[in-house]
Amino acid sequence: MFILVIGGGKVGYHLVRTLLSEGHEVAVIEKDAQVCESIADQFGGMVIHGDGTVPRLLREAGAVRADVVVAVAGRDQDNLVVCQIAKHLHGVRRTVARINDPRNDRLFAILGVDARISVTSLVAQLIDAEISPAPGLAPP
Amino acid sequence: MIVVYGCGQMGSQLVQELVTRGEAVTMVDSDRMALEELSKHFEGHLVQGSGTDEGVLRMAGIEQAECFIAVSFDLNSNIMAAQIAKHLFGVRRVIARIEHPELASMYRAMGIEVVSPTLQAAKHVGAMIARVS
Repeated sequence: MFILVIGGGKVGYHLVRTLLSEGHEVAVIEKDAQVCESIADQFGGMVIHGDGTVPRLLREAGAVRADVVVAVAGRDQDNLVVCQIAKHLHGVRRTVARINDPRNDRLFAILGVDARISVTSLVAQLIDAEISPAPGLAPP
Repeated sequence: MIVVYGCGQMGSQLVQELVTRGEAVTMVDSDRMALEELSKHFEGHLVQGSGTDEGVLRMAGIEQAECFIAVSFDLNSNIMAAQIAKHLFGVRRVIARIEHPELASMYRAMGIEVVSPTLQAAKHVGAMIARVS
């Protein structure tokens, strides 16, 4: 698959590495020039420096032929706009957004973001599971 | 009742204009200094907090608002705030400041009224120059 990733921070970086190792084609848009350089040095391939919430940039990155657009920037409002541009202007079938504030999940769902990943909720759930493991999962 | 998000130059001018016309207005912005400055010559309500936060908008009375106007300098926040107002609170008229032409027409098609003051000003000045030369 061709996967377009917006945001090359910690989450974006490891996501790109995972996707490439699975044999996917990946392009990244990142607004910090230094981060772009380090991703390009590590993985080569297509890294575009700029603001992923600009429709032209998404187009140049190949959004129209992307199977999935993944928005993992640091701000929820930017991730929302990325997913909406991808869907409405470039006809991308599947959009995935990272959500920093778990309360935004409902809004993003109503607005057509196909999958929402709340890092905060995930970490809270994992920690909770460690504190009070489900009976079936308790160590012997 | 009108809720305005964005206490910059545009928002500040706007709320004063609305109050002069007899509207009940609440201004939302996370910048405390900007709100304090506005309070010197504004008699409406002030709520400090992010315009993209449901709870903050609720505090600003968005459930009773006939109109929500997002004119902060953070354009993507305007877009998100406007959609919260429209889809989570069912506000009848929602206006957002969006300066990118392609985004403006996209969100217009989705039922948000769009203003593009910077874009309009640039076009206006361009036209003025064209007339002069």
